[in-house]
Amino acid sequence: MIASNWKEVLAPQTEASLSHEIDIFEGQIALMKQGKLDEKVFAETRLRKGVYGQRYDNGQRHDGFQSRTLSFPQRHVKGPGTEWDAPGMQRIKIPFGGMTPDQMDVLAQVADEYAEGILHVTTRQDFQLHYVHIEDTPDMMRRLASVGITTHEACGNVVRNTTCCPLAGVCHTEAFDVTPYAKALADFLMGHDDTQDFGRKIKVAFSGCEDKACGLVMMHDIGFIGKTRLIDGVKVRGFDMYVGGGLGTIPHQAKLLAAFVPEEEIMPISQAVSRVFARLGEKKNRNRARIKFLVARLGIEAFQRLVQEERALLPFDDRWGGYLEEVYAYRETPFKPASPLNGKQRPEGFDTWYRTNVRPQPQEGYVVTTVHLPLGDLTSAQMIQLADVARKYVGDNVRTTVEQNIVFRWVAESDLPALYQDLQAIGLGDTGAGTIVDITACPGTDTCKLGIASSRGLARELIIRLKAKNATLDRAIQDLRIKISGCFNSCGQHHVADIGFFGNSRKSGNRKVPHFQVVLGGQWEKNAGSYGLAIGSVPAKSVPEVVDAITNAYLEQREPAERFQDWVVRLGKKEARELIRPFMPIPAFEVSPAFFADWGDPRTFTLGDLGIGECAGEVVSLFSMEISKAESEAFDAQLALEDGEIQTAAERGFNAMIYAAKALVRTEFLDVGDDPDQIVTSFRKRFFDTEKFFDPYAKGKFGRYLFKHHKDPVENPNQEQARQVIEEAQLFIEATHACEMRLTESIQQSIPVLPQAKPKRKPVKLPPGYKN
Amino acid sequence: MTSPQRIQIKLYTKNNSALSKDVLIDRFHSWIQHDLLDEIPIDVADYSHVVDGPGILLITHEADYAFDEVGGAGLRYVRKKEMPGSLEFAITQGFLQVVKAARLLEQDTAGTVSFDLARVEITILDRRLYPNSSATTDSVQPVVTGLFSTIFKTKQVECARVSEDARFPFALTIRAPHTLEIDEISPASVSEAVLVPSL
Ligand code: HEM
Ligand code: SF4
Repeated sequence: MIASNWKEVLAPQTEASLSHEIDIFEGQIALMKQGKLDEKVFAETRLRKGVYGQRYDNGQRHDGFQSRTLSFPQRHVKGPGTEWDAPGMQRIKIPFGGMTPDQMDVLAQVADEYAEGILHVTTRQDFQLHYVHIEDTPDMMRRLASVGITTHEACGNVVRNTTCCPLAGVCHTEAFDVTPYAKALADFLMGHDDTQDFGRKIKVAFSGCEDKACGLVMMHDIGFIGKTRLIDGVKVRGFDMYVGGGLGTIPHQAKLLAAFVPEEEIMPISQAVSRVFARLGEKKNRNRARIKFLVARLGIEAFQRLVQEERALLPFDDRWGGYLEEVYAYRETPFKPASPLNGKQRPEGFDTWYRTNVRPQPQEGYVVTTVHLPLGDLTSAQMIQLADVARKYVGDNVRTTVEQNIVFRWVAESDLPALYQDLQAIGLGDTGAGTIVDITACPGTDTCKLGIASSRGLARELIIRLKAKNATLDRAIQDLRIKISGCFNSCGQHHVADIGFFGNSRKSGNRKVPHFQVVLGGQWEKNAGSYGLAIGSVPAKSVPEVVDAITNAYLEQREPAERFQDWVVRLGKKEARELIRPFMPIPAFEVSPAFFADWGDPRTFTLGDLGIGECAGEVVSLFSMEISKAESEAFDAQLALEDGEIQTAAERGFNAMIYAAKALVRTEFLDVGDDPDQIVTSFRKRFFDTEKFFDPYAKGKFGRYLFKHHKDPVENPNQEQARQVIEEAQLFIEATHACEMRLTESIQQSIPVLPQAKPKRKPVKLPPGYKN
Repeated sequence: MTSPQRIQIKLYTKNNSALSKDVLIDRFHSWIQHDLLDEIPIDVADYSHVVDGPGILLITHEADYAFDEVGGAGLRYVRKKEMPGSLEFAITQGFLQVVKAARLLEQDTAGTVSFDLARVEITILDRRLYPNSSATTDSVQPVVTGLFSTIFKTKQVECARVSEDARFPFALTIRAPHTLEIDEISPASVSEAVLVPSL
């Protein structure tokens, strides 16, 4: 018998909490289709499930001659100015990039059933699928959840995917394997009460050492570098913790928040940082809302002090130290016994691949190999075949990388020739990983609403040209990195490339011409230790010549063994600009019409397709987000009632009340938790007894519904009783809305004109082992 | 049999002749500009950098058209919006659409490519309703053979399952003893195959 839906098929093998989140989201989709949710709230809700907008989702597209309306059939929207039917992007979180062959199989299957059969690895170790219809997303999420993958908090104003050096655990220079810490912190922060009220996103990264590129800590909002110290003759682990790094228009290097934070403090201090950010971070102007701006505004010392104070106030949580048991139990088991390469037959092309795609591990007889994906893309069929290759050689030791590739760890050296041949057989034996032909590009105008110029189009073109002459290039050139973003937001990480580009546009007469700003000498090493120098914009179509001019000049001018970054510094901005000056002029349209169109796109170039970005959605209040869960629970209760599931209907009706009460309580008391007793008690104390909840007509009537059902849950309800619970839940939800509105209005009216004196805080006692 | 959530039908070119990505991108944009499609067009996507990838796609709301070289150069039609009615109806409608697009591509590239209809590949992208299993083969294969026997007006149509690996979608290759010229296919000739489309 065929089950009637994926929910039914997969329920037994899916973790209840993941299922529950998806049920809520599905309920919200249904509510939105009936026009019962606010557009902004729904937009942020879906972003938090990784469901992003995509180019043209405002229903307009310029076809090269004119702007046209895409007349989608359904009239509702999935956010402000975002058509319901317009295809979107789905981001899938892969914490620290780690995935198993079984997960790879499912990723492949959802990509061919709900997207166009392509999986894209992102610059933050996630996967993205494009052209996905929103109504397919709950099923897609269920299938992913059945193998333990979530999309929860993949986008939106929350803590995004936690990234980690793909070599962690198999690296020569690391202090220790930071993987299990990255995993534990990702789990801890996901959905945490303290991470739900940000003005923008937080990105977290882990590194095992300082000098290599490793986890790129210096460009992250929160970053950890693993360190060890000898304390009383015992080697102890800790982390240097950084805050306030980030790329974007105004890139910032992270600042040291605290040196050598003990293992059991990484969770509470991250929590404290989150609270400070939620409380003091910018909420109105999203261009200045990342932590980096808060740290810059307050200064790192003041930020440190606030974090310490907040840390001291946190209620104890046994997960803070509890996770360490798992950390110490964490082991990656090699799938095959170690064995050297000696004497093995080397197939054609193997030596080049070996040089660029293979790195020895400190564990003798093992290597890490990189599966080089062009522009981070692979097909569903390749993913299934790759899963089988993984099963044959490395088992679960597979990770995505921020350079949009996949690595196999713990490959027994003697397997390399056979592995190379197997990869080649599925079209994934490309050499040149981490070299000039391994170009990173953000989605750009292909799918991103903010894309100005075609980052992927340019990357495709450069790859073709550079590959054609790669063999003849000097090693110093081969080893350079190129990274391209479609606009200044720097999703393609151009700031940390040797040669970086970001899209912009210039005018020539009445016509617009796609351009790229050239950014030279960014540092990938030292955890993205410094950013490149912007030297000027050139037409998109001149970029290949610009790359040639820059690389040739470097070859000619460099001192023996001078690195590219050092050469750029020595050259200086002015001279560097001189290098590209010959390529800056725009030829007349009549002479070179091709300059007026972008790479891989014959349409006349226009900025008319630029949309409003959903880099973080709108800032929606914590209350709005939480109350929408109550609404969707009440909606599900109604559906259960219609399906004759009377008991479930009554239970969900009551749950909806609890969610609504929690939404209100959390406006005053963040730590209320999930326990219904605690929620009801807090609601009574803070809102009922104080009469804040009372309205002039009904007084406390609707609040009493909550107390009644909490005290005496209806046993074995009949249809009528269940219906009543749901109706009362709806009235209670309405009353919480009204209460929140009254309170926010009165707060706004009471905002004093004169600046208030800063409230004094108690001096803070630091927890054991926490040194500043 | 119920209509699947997605169905894909691919036609192959004669002599495996292909088109350059520039030509394809240009043609697909021009189809949008000149309103040549039945569907709501959205964009053109370029996956030419992926080995054995989906090639160049013309993405629309209801379906994607793609020219790729997986298993031979050809044109794929992927119906993304569920068709109302039966599997048979979905297949015949999909077949008509891909033939129509193939005809357009032939005309639009002045004969650089032409299609050999003696080989058709049908993929059902719906692992819940149509898992890639022998049971699905047993139920779907006779239906598809029947449909294409009517279309090709011969009983000699062969129909084979493409892969037995359940992770891949269920797919069948149909081979007829002779090709049909694209002009021989029309809605009328195809609808004979599904006598009563169960709309
Ligand atoms: C104001 C809006 C945005 C800002 C400031 C922004 C910023 C960034 C930054 C700085 C990164 C990468 C580096 C890092 O980890 O810090 C990133 C990654 C990324 N962002 Fe954005 N972003 C914005 C909007 C968008 C939009 C609208 C999209 C497309 C729907 C998008 C797609 C991506 C993707 C795909 C990545 C990973 C890149 C890849 O590997 O493909 N971003 N974003
Ligand atoms: S850099 Fe710009 S174009 Fe590229 S994904 Fe980010 S926002 Fe879009």
